[in-house]
Amino acid sequence: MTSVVIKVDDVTLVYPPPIRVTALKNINLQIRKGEFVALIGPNGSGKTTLAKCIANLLKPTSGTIYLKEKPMTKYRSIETCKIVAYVFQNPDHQLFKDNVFDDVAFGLRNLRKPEEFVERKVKEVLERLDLWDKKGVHPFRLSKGERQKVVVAASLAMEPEVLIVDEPTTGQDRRGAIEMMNLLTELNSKGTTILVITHALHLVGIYVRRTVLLNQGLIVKDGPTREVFGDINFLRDVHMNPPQITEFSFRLGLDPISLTVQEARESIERIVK
Amino acid sequence: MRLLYQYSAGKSFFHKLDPRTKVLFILCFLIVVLVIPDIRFTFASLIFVLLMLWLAAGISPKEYWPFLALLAPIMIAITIVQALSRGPPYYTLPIIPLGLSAPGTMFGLTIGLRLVTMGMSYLMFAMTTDPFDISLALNRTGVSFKYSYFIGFALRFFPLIQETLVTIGQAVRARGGASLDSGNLIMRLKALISCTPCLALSTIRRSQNIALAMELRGFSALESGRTFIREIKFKPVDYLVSIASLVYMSIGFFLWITVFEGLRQLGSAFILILVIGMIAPFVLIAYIYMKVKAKKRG
Repeated sequence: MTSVVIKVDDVTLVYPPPIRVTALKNINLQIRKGEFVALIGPNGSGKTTLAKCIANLLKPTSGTIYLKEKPMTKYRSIETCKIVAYVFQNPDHQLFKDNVFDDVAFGLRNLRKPEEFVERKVKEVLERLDLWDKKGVHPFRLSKGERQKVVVAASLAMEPEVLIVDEPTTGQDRRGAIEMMNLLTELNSKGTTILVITHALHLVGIYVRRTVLLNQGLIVKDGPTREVFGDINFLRDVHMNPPQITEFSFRLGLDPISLTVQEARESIERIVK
Repeated sequence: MRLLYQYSAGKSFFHKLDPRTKVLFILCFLIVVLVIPDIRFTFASLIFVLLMLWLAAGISPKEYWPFLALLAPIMIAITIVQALSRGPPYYTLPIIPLGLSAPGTMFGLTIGLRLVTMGMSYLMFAMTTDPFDISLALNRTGVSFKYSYFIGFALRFFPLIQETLVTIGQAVRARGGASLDSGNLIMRLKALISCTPCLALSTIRRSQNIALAMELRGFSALESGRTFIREIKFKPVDYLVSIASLVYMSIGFFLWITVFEGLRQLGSAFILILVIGMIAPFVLIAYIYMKVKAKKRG
């Protein structure tokens, strides 16, 4: 059994006035090293707030978050960002420099890494994400998909143990979305713990093994994706639409329900034979 | 980082006043604060604004203490500059081996208190007035819809920019940069500098998109004869507060022009009676308002 990298212990968060909303209510959650977890839920359910608490960007009103068994309050923010990287939903809110290269190097330079290391690491990450030829371009001149890739590159360059990505596929075409999920899967296979916030349940079905469903600040389901998606009526109750292929297999009465077209085809073939 | 200046919906006495009444009240109140050069009066006025914020506007100190904390260093800086630059009599403090001017200290404190009073008065208006009502009020006073809408929209846009700044600040922190919330002043300024280009660009982009969306929905196609889904009108309580505000300002001017120099020699007790006398009309109006309200409910 791998070690627990993040433990959320009875966390409640109430936003200060004038917002005054209780965004999280007594949340308990454990994420183990190397897990690939999806945080899903309707708008305003507390997904981003929970993820920001885990990244030490928001302080819970009560309860404790442990990062590698040490309370988050014991970490300075510079220490947290060496372990946890957070990719925000809107790329425009996290591009700080005049060119792509400097933007990706921003975090490493803040961590006081030697310039040789910075240059090598940035080159490696930009090449991996097919952005090396854009290194001198102003980030705001890129397309939204490319800007999203730049901010992911900037987080990857910091070599985090835990990567939190908020809505990575929003505004991306099918190819961009699949590339992004493949990249996250590849990182996960190399040992990075991934926490992805998304509304793209069809991609969750294909790529993510564990799913946490939030509703009105509470964790209402937490388990293997197949198990969470299997309760289709419950998903609908919290205004979430299961992937079409999952709904199709549910209506056909396939057991277990399918998360991908491939799985559905295999199940149907088995029945026909 | 707390969000300030944002309209906070409520049903308090101040929330229900017409925006024009609130502007008149705040203007009259601030004019008196600015013309009467007495630190005791300025301090009493500040306490009055804070009490009004709590009791008449329903905004607890929890909501605005960061704003007060932000103004405190400015107030101290003003006082120090005045204490070092004005004339005798001088005094010394045990930890500062410099002669500080007594009138300069008092003058600096008065300016600082006035600044805080003005800030809190603005906060009282901004936090109790829906920007849409501000547009409506301006439109009713003759400003064209286009410009009145722009002013209301600018007030609504400011908290959105502040929210974006908070998010950008978090993004800087997530990549090991300085924090907007913690650390010393230099660190915070460093964080703000990191955020500024990103904030400026995203704000310009956002405003361009909003302008385009407004054009697409036919903004300003109908300049005259426009109707509104919500209406604002002067109620009896608005007339009462407006009259009381004008009376208050007149008394303030009268005191400033005629007797103020002599009044200062009469001492604190008289100033206290004066302040109570000037505040009494507002208390009376609030009392009448509550009585009428209770009668209506009963």
